[in-house]
Amino acid sequence: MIRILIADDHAIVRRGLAQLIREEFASAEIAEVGDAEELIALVTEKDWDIIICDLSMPGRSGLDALRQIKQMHPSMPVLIMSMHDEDQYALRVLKAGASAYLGKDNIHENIIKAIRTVLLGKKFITPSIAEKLAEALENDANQLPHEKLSDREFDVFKLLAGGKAVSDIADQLSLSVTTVSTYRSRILEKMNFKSNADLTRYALNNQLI
Amino acid sequence: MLKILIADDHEFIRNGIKQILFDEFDLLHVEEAADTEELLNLAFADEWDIIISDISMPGKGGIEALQIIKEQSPSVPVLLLSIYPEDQYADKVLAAGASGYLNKDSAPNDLVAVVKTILSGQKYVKNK
Repeated sequence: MIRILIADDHAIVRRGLAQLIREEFASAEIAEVGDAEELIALVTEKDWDIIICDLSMPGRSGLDALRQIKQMHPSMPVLIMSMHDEDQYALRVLKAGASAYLGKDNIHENIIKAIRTVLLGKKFITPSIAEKLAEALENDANQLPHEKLSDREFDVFKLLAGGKAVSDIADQLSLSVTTVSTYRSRILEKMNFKSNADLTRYALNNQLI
Repeated sequence: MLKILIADDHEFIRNGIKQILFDEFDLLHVEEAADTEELLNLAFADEWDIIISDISMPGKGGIEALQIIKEQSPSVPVLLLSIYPEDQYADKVLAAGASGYLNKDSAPNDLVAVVKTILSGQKYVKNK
């Protein structure tokens, strides 16, 4: 018997989904919860073959719940559904460990296929998300090292490349020395460099300072 | 036999509403519309005990559809549903002739209670 847990703050949505699933999986054990807290409580209590979770719920979001579930049970499949367009959240949700992401506009046509695929231990990716993933890979491949930095990391990068000491940068940006040191480590890691001298050379070659 | 028309552009939401009503009412005939145009076609094709419609649908939308329905069939009760809280829309849709307004996160029991209130000829106004 398949055990499915549905989390959505809209009772009508839960009932509609449960009905849809029962038409296909007549013997499924289906439980419903209305928020992330209840969801985590039920996930802690017992094992589920698949969790279907809304992205936007009052209190903690579905994405937060997904992260916690994947920490507790890395192999428990979670399918995230959302009212948002697929494009907006799909990649973020899949990176966080979801097995599928469905926009509510295409749930009806895809939910059963998605459940079957996920139960086989695979990810369910719609063609439009697959296209988005391919685009993201291409963008990553063409991205210059400094383009991977966040706005704040880029500020710190320029100051480091310009020869400033960590303590001076901390003063200038009103940050603690520890925070700037953390930024420095992250910058070196993201750009695949080893020292401040590497940063300076890169910045000069790319006319960033 | 109770005749109910349900309009929502999401099939699984229509399913949810239908299921909740079938759990409560024994003799029920339900038709479904997936957009405003279909809703208006079906609204005037039969006599309905109640029309339950989403407020946001492709096409004219639930409120404009409500106004058209009330112009041509003033006596048919219309319950509007949406994902927005009651205080954002309730007054507006009641002024436009709706018999009630309910948030989609309401419990199944609330939906049934509101439908029964409206079927008894009253309007449903939350906390008023």
